[in-house]
Amino acid sequence: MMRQMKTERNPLQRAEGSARWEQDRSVVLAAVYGPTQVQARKEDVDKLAIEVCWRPAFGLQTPADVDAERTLRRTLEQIVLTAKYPRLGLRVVVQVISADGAVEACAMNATCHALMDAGVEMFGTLVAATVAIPKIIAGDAEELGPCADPTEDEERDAAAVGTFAYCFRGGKPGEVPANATPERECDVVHCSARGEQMSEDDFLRMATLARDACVEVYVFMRAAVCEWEEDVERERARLEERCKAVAAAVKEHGVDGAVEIFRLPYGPKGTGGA
Amino acid sequence: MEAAAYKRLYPHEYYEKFVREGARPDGRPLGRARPVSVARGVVSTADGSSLVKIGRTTALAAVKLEVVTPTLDAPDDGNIDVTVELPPMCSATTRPGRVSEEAAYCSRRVADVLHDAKVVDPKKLCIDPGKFAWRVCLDVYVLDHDGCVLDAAVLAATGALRDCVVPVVSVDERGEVSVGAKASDGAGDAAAENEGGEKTKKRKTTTTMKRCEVTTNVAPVSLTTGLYRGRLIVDPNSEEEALMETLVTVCVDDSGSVVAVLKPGGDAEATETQIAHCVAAARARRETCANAMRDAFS
Repeated sequence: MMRQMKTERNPLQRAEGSARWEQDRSVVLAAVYGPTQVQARKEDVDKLAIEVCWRPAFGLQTPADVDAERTLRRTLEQIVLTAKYPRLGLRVVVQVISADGAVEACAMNATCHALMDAGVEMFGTLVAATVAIPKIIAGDAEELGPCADPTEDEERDAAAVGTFAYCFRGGKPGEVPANATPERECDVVHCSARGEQMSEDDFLRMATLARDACVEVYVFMRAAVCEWEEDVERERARLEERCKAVAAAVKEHGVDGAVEIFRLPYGPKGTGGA
Repeated sequence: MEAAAYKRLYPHEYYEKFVREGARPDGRPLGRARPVSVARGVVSTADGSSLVKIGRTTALAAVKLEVVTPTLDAPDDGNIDVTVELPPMCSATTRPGRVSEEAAYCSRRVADVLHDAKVVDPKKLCIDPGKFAWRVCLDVYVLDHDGCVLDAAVLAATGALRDCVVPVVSVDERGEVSVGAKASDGAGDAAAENEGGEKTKKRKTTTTMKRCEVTTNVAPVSLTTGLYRGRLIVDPNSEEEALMETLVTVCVDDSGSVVAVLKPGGDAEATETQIAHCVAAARARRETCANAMRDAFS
């Protein structure tokens, strides 16, 4: 259903959290700074003040980007536990690296991953997907239903396009979350659908397909996070081993000896550099 | 404590008291939208204009036509440029300076709706395929922001486009526009023929000066519904909008098919049933808006 997805955690070390999300050729980089102190005029006494900065792939910011900022900000206000961070501010910077359809959904997914990387508390996992209903060309024998994750060309030629975002929560790791099963109606966090002459049925079909596509995204995101946790675990184990080895060397050869054996940077015979 | 003070200090409790009984502070039941009125031709210097009032929300739209070169991938189409502005006079919270988020949001949505509902036939905006076409500069100014600005803007934009009449012009090679009968053998000869006195006279008497309408007589109607603690509040005014958890805007066209469904985040999620109710409410609103448009344009 969805195109080839790739994600990378923490590509920017200076940000509190960052993530890169690719859906085939749509690539978005999201960075999260905060929650941290902000200027008094931006402060909110009860909750976290979220600010979004949307940078397009090329050129200056246009009103379309200002609109995208607003959309993302309002969606995040629903997902993040803003009440836990009163009088603080969160700044989310979204840089579109390449746009090939479903950019808004890609940005929302990237932002969610970045927020997880930053450790900001959220109600659940924000996942988003775009669906499109292609135009019916005269002469086609059957009507193609909605298709998920369109490319830019498909979006432009579609009769209707919609971006839907959901917040999946609950459920045990490895299984589909409770509010995403086909029987239950899923609550929409964000929806922006436009098209020429959609019937209500078309819209509901789009929403259902979007929900299924989002489950796929959710499963992928979960797998990425688990892999990252395993990496962290491995790194921690490796570090512990190295500490033990250094301690053993210090005991055996003394500090100077350890510095020489392991080529540690500091100490009288150290290399001085990193 | 008097009512005004209570309303200021505890806005949610004040509002809840009304909503629990199925009514709202301004007297409407939860499902009723405010009355609409449309006026056309209000700005004499513009090529087309209209003024729309939904309750106290007022939007003024004006159209100016400009001759430009069409884009390479659509050589016989004109284009429409929509800007919605929320000037500082419209509400206590708007400030001058940078384009506000709400204005950018409305601009994009109105442009999308006009395009998807096919309100304007871009082929009618063509003067000379590949060389000259009309650009429709549509500006919507919201004069009073009392909630549901997007609904008023969509209606005003449609009204202004319907009021606008595109003159038939002839453009010579230098790009000078002369309003007059179109020359039958190309734009290049038009200048020469307009200079010649007798020939022009003959031309003027034989061909009538046609001015064409630019819209396709479709009027998309948009309705914003707010979600407040599980209840649907149709067409909230600005005080209510501030209290709403989220707003769902649905836009339908004449035949009842959906043109746009927008729910930009907010504080609460919307179930599919609630969205279906919003679509039904928008469909019910079509009648009222269609009557208002008909009264203005009859």
